[in-house]
Amino acid sequence: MNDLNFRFSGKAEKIFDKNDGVNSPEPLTEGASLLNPESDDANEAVSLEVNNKTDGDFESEVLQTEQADVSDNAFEETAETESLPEAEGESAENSDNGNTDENTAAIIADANRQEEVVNPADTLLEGLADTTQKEKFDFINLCVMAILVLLIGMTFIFMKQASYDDSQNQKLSFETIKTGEYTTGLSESYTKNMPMPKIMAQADVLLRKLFGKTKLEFVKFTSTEPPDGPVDNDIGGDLSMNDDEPAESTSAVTTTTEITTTTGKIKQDFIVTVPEDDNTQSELFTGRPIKTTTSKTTTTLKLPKATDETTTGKVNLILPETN
Amino acid sequence: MIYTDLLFVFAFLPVTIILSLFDRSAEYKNLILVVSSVVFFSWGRPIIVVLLFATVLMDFLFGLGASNKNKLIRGVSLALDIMMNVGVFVVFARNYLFADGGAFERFGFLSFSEKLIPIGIGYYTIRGISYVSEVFRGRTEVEKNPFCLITYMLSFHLMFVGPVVRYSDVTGEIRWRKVGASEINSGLTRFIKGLGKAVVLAPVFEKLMDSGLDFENMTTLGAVAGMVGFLGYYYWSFAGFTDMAIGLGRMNGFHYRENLKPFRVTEGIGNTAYAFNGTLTGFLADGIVHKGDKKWLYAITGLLCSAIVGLWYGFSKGTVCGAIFIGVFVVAEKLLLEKRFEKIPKAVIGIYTTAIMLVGACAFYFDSLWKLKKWVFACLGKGTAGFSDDSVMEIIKGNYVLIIFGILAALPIVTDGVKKLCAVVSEKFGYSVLRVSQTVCTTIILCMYTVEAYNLVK
Repeated sequence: MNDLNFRFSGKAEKIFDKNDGVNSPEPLTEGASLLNPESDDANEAVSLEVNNKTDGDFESEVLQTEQADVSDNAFEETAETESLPEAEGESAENSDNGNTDENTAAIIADANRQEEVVNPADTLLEGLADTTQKEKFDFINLCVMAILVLLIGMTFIFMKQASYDDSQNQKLSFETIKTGEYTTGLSESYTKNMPMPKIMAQADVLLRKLFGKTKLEFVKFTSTEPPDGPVDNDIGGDLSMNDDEPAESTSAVTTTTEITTTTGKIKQDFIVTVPEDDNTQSELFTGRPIKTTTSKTTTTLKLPKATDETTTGKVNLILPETN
Repeated sequence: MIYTDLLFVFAFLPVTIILSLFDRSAEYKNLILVVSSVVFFSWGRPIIVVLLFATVLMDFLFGLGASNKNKLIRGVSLALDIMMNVGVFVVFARNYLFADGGAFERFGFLSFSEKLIPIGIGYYTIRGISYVSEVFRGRTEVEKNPFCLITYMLSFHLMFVGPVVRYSDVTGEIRWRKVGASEINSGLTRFIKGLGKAVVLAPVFEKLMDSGLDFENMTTLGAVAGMVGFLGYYYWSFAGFTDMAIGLGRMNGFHYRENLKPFRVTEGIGNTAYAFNGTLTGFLADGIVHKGDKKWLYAITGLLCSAIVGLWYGFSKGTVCGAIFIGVFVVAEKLLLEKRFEKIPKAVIGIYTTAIMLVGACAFYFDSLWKLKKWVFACLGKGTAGFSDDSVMEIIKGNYVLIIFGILAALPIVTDGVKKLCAVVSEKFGYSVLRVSQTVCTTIILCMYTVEAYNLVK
C-alpha cells in the first residue's frame, strides 16, 4: 500500500513497509481502521477518517523537539508533504530493497509536485508515538532525580555527625511549639549534624576552580593540628611567667593544654602561673609555693573561654599543701 | 524555611510529594497541601498561622459580599477587602517603615520582631484582593467551599516572587487535577533549575554588587561591575524563585502562568516591561489602567499603576522614580507610537528600549540622588578611588565563568540559539541523546546546589 515513514527526530522507522513482499493492503478508505487496513469495521479500536484522494496522496510528518523547557512538553510538528505511490502499481517495483533510495527520491519528488494534504490518521499515530517516547524519558528522568534527592536526604538524616548537642532545643512541648523553638531546633540540628564536611569542603574547592581562578587549595585537616588564628574554645590560661619567653598561645585545642591532678578537686577561680623553675609553682595572690612534678601533680582543667579582651582564664585549684 | 534550604529540598518536599500521591482525589491532595503549607508557614513562627486563617476568613466573607446583587454591598465589600489586604501588606511586608528612622516612625507600636512577619505576605495579600475583585467583576463565581479558598490562599508554592495566580486560573484545578509521572518530572526538573539559578548563579552577582557598589571606595570598574551585579542578582534570584514556584505547582498538578519572559527589546518598552514579573504588572494594570478611548485617562492611570508597581518593590524614591520613568515611556509608546511602530526599524526600537529599561532598572538601586550622582561620576571615571580594586578583581577572577554564563543566558538571542541547537541535536543524534543530556545537566545542577547550600550553612 503505502510507505509510511515516520521519522522521530531523524530516526527512520517504517510502520508499514510494502517492500517485504507481503501483499500490500488496499488503499485506506473512509472509515477504515489503520490497525487493520483491510477491515471496514468502524468499531475497530482506532477508526479514522482518511482523506483518500484518488491520486493516493498522503503526508507524513517529521517531529522536532524543543529543548528549552522540557517540562512544557514542547514538541513542534512540522509538516512535510510526501506523496506515496499507488499501492498496486508500486508493489512489484519496490520489492527490491536496493530500490529504497530511489523510492525515497521519488516520494520526495512527488511531494514537491503535489498539494499539501494533512492525514489525521498519520498525525494521530505520530502524536501517540511521540507521547509514548516522551513519557518514557520523563519517567527515566524522574527516577534519576527522585533517587538522587531521596539518597541525599536520607544520607543527611541518617548519617549524622552527632557533634552538635541538640537535646536542649528539641524538647517537644506545647511551649516550644508555640514559640517556634522546636522547629528552629530541628533546623539547627539538621544543618549542624550534616555529614561529610570534609568531602563537601573539597567539592566546594573543586567548584571554585571550575568557576574561575581561585586561591583556595585542597587542605588536609587533622584534629590534632591547631587551627590558625583565634579560635573560640574552652581553654584559656596564661602558662608563662617568664618575661623573656613569649607566653604560650592559648588558642590551642584542648588536648595540648591538659594539666591533671591526683586530687581531682577543682574550682574555677585560680590563675595558674608557670613556675620559674621546674619544681615550684606559686599561687598568684597568696604566693604559697606549690610543688608539682609532672608525674605526680597533674590537673585536668577545663579552663574558661578566652574572650576578645584577654587570652587568659582564671582557674581555682585546691591542691594539697606541700609545705 | 525557604525553598533553597536543604531541609526543604531534601526532607520537607519529598515527604509532601510522596504523601500527596497516596490518593488521586483532589480533596486529599488539597488537604496535604494545606497541612504542609501550615507547617511551612509556621516553621519557627507558629503564631503566623492565626493571622493567615483570620485573613482567609475575611476574604471568604468579603467574597460572599462581593457576589451580592446589591451594588452598594458589592462595592463596600471590595473596598474593605482591598483596605484590609493593603493594610496587612504595609504592616507586615513593610514593617521596617514603623521602626526607628522609618517613614511611619510615629506608629512605632506597629513595629515588631521578624518572628511575627509571615513569609511571602505580599503575594498572599495580592491573592486575597485578586479573589474578591474577580468575584466583584463576575469573572469567577463566589467560592462557597471555604476549604477550596484556603487551598488557594495558603498554598506554599506562591510565596516569594509569585507568580500572581488569579483565582479564576486555578478554580478548575483545585477541584480536579492530574498528577502523574510527567507532571512530577516536569515540576521537579523546573524546580531544580530554579535552585541552580537562585543558589549557584545569583550569589555570584550579589558578591559583585556588594563589592562594586561601595560608595566609600568606589572605583570605575566597581561601579560598572557592581551595577551588572545588581541587575544580575535580582534577575537570577527572581528567575530562580519563579522557576521553583512553578515547579512546585506542577508537582501538585497546578499550571501557573509564566512570570518571567525573555526581554525581547525589539518589541518595544511595553512588552519588555511586562516581561519581568508580568503577572503582577498585568494584575495591577488590569485593575487600575483605563481601557477605554480616553487617552488622558489612560495616561494618568498608567502612571499611577507604574507608581504602585514601584511601591510594591520598595517604599523608596529609587523604586518609585524608576518605575514611573519606565511607565512614562510605556504610556508614550502606546499613545504616540502605536500606529507607527511597524515603520520604525527594529534596531532603533531595540536600542532605545534597552537604554530606557537599563536606566529605569538601575534607578531601583539608588535611594538618594547623592548615590546616583556618585555612581554616574564613577562610571565616567571621576571622583573614584582608581580604576579598580582588589576585592572586585578577586570576585571577577574567581567567578568569571559564572558571570559570563549569567550574562549570556539572560539574553534572548542566546536562549533562542540554544533551543535551535537542541532541535539540531535531536534531529541528528536522536531524541534520546537530547533527553539523556538534559538529565545529566539537571543532575549536575542538583549536585552544585547541594555543595553550595551545604557550605553556606556549615
